[in-house]
Amino acid sequence: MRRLVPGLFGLLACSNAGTPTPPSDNFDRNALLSSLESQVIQPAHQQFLVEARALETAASAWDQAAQAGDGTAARSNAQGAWRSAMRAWQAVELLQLGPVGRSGLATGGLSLRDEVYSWPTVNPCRVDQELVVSDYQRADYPNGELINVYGLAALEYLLFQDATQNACAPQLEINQGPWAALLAEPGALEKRRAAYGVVLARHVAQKAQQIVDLWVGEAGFGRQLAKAGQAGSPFRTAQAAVDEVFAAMFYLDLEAKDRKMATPAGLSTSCPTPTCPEALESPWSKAAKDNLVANLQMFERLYLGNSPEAAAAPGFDDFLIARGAPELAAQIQADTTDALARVGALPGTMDQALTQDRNQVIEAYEAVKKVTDDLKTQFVTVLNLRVPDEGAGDND
Amino acid sequence: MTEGPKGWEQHLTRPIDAASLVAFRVMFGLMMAFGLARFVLQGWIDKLYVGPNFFFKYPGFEWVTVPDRAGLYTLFAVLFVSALLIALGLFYRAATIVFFFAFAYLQLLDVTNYLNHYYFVLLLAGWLVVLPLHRHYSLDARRRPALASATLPAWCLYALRFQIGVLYVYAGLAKLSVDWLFHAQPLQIWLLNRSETPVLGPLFALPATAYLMSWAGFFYDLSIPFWLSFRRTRPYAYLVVLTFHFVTHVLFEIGMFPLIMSVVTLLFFDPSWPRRFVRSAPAPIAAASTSRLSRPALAVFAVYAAVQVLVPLRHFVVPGDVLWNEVGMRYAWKVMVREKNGSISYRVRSKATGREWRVSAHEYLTWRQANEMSGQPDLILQLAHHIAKDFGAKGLGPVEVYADALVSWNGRAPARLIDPNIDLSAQPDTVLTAQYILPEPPEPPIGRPLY
Repeated sequence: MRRLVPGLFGLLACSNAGTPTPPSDNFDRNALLSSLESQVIQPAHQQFLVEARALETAASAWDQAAQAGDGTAARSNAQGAWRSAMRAWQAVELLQLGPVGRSGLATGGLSLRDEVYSWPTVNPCRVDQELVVSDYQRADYPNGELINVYGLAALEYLLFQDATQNACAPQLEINQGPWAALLAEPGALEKRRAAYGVVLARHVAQKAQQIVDLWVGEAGFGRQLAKAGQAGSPFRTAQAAVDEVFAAMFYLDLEAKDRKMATPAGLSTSCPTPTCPEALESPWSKAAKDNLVANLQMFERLYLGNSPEAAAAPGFDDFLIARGAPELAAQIQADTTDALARVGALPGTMDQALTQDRNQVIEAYEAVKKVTDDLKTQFVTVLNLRVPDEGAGDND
Repeated sequence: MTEGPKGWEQHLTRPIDAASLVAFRVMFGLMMAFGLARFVLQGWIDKLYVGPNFFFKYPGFEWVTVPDRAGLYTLFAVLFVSALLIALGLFYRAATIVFFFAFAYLQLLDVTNYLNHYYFVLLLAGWLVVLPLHRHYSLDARRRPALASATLPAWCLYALRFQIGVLYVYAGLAKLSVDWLFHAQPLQIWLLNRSETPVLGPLFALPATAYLMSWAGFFYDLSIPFWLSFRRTRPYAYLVVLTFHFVTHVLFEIGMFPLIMSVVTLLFFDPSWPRRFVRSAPAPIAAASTSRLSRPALAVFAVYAAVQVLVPLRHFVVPGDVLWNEVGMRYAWKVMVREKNGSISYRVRSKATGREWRVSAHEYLTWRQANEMSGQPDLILQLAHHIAKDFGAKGLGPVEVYADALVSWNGRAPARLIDPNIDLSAQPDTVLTAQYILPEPPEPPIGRPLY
């Protein structure tokens, strides 16, 4: 009521001077989706395919060199190829849409994400057990296997683990003789790691190709996304497709912020000690910081509709401006830039940053949180997007 | 010599044709059965009651626990059968009592599931317990002819009309706000996203539409019970009812609400209206009533009516805007009048070691729960208390719990809803003296105002 009286006086005064422009719905959601599909999503898939093929080639070279008795240089090359592939995949992590998305949750979801990268579902002990039994030699490997023995995470362990001990508990059968027998054979451990590695790299490349194949073409998911709300698209409306892109952007909140940053920095109760570097992503390659940067960069691209240095394209920032929220559009861009700068400025690797300056990690976490706060408050309100899983139940 | 009934008492006790009340009973039972079946088929039992690990409790009902999956399905089966029995008028008294208590129990399981129309259904179910709507066109009346009566006292109809009137008038008063009337918010935010609606979509994209609909909705809610009360205006008013609720059904995911309101407003028509459809002559009505109303029953109704009228006004005794602080939001018919989205996390500090943790609401809640609670201070407080207990149980307590609660209200820039410097674990479980709730942001909502 206290607000109503001045409002009535304002109405009587009939003054429009200095008031913001009215929000409109002249914004073309299909143009946004089309742009995201062609400028952001497909290039990310293509880039990952290029890197996955390069990884397969490098892993194959490592295998050949290792079987010949000296795989050191080839392994180093393969490690570099893995880093490039992982950087490319971390962009796709924010694009868990269509076939990459989870089956039953995402429209057209086939859970291909887990086929490529299963983190945090990882189990190095199981990888060691596979090494011992050489199960990877099966022609149809990894069909029928759990996701924790293949994909980029298992491959990382094979490529970057230098130690000769395995990751299993002492009481497990592997440590009752089989592992010792493997070590007794000179060079056998590296040979098997390389042989297993090339199988996994080939599988990753196949899945990368499958993702691209399912997205491109007239019947591809990319077209269905861009044509949302039209005949032939599984999305009833373009707005529903925008909601799914928005849901995918929440990766930044639950995975990047909470799992990749809060837990290792000791901000979560799942970390009993002051910091938990063992909870970091990519522990063997120490690529956790690069992964986070790649996540943030892809978030920025999704938000802007393109990379900041590329030509302007329809993005969520334009959507906000069309809805009469230019200040918010600028704020989110500034907050994202700040988060990227803070994560990028962490000293050394994430492990080193946690050891040297935990407060700096927490500041970077707070900067990412600022972006996700924007996302969960005014952004979702102004654009009237549906937060994930909001569909259950009715409203009033 | 005892005194005869007074004029008003005669009016209330005069016999009226039971037909419209019986039709209401049948349609209520069928709608409830349909709504319950829909709830189960959508998989909402699992999503709303099996999935969550934590449930928000209503004050005084902390003892209510959520049954296991089998228990939940049994509860829905019981509700479904009792709804059908109500429609059939079979074992009516028992069915209405079972339905009322089972539905109340279901609502008490988790505050984040509160909906105005569930509360309305509960109140109607309560009235069914009291009203003898099984005396005509029911299997009970067929089984026990002594029960049968083609007429019912008029107060049965008036009681239900009163309940409907309260809902509409307060839903209208809830729209008496600057945001609703002069900024067309949150309607503008919602309508802009309905531009893909077939046929009407382009209209929804026009800013003027939101203003028109805001004002129309305000006048509709505030006045429709009155237009429905007069014979001359009633048919037109009912057409407006159907149009209004059809539009809300198309635009918003409000489930059974449009159907329920379209059905219950039929109670404003002549009590004999259903007989036109079953080709039955109106029930013979006695010229005047000689019966009297029970004084204790009248007193109970007076108290009930006072509660219904006063409870939605309780927010006036609390400083600040109810749509922001939510103190007095529930049971007040503030239907679809605000769009709030929040980002809630907690800063937990060990009193012993000073170590700090950041706790995301998602660690305890489903997405839907987190989204619902993010704008409701009493629920933010409740989760803070639970977190303090949980940390204690994990051997990490005692702790202080601070909320980092940013909320965007009707498109405003996010503002703090909760004082981040107040230890919520030490706050009493009440919102009436809540010092931890911060005042609403002073700026207007997004968009150009009407003035």
